[in-house]
Amino acid sequence: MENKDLDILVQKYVEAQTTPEEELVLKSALTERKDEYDDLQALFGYFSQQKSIKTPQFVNPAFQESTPVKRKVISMQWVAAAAAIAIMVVAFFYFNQSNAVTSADTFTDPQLAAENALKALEILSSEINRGQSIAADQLKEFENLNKYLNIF
Amino acid sequence: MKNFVLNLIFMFAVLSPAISQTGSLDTYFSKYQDDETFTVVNISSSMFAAIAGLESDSIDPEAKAILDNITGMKILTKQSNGETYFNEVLNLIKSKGLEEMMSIKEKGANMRIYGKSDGSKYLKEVVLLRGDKDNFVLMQVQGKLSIEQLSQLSRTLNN
Repeated sequence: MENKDLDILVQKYVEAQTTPEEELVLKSALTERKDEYDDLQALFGYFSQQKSIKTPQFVNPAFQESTPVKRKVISMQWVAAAAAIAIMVVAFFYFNQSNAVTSADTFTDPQLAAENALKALEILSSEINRGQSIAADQLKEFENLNKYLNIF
Repeated sequence: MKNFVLNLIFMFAVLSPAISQTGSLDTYFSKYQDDETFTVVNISSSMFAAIAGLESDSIDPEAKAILDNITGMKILTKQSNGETYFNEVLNLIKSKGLEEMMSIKEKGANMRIYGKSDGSKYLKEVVLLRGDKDNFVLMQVQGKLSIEQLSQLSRTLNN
């Protein structure tokens, strides 16, 4: 390559008008002429030197690669069913609560309990008999009335 | 979806009175069990099981036969305001599936006996309710009972 052409190329390069092919040509021409165009030589030398330096592999410990979590889709029916069961369970305990409260026994001795239960049953029994005798009396009166009516 | 929820609510509405009915008068008993002015007697099914296991000569065999068929007894009494509580229970009892078996109304005193049939000839629950000016008695007996057997009892015990 002649000096004149090289000058033009260098000029173009400085003005940033060169194409990548022209830059390659310039680069090879410059490596042939080691003693000329010192500043440009230095520039290309710097570039190639910088290119040879590799950036070290840097791992950021704070950055964690997160794989996208697959979200399970629960259908509304199952939610409703679960809610229904929950309601039932709550209701069951709610209604059972009142029963549990009264379950404390008054007596601890079965003999004593039996005697008291019998006393209570006796009252119940006498009330039943009272009712039946009243009913019987009224029936008798009703029969008497019928007898009277039959006379006439 | 909407239908499903509506069905559920409907089902629940139907079921809830049935569930509460099993408690019968329990809520009423528990309402007053801590009230000092009331006398509460509660004999549980496990106590009746213990009574059934008793071998005692002091208990009349006919009376024992009745006791053996009882699974629970509750008594609530108070020495005043009988009429007030009588009416209170009367309003409550209508929703408990109990049928009136006997009713005596005398001067200033009311007595009712309610029963719940077990489907055959026995009663699974008998409730005695009595109230006058100075007395209130509510007695609930559960088990396998018959009116004939119960009415026989006072004659047996008094002889």
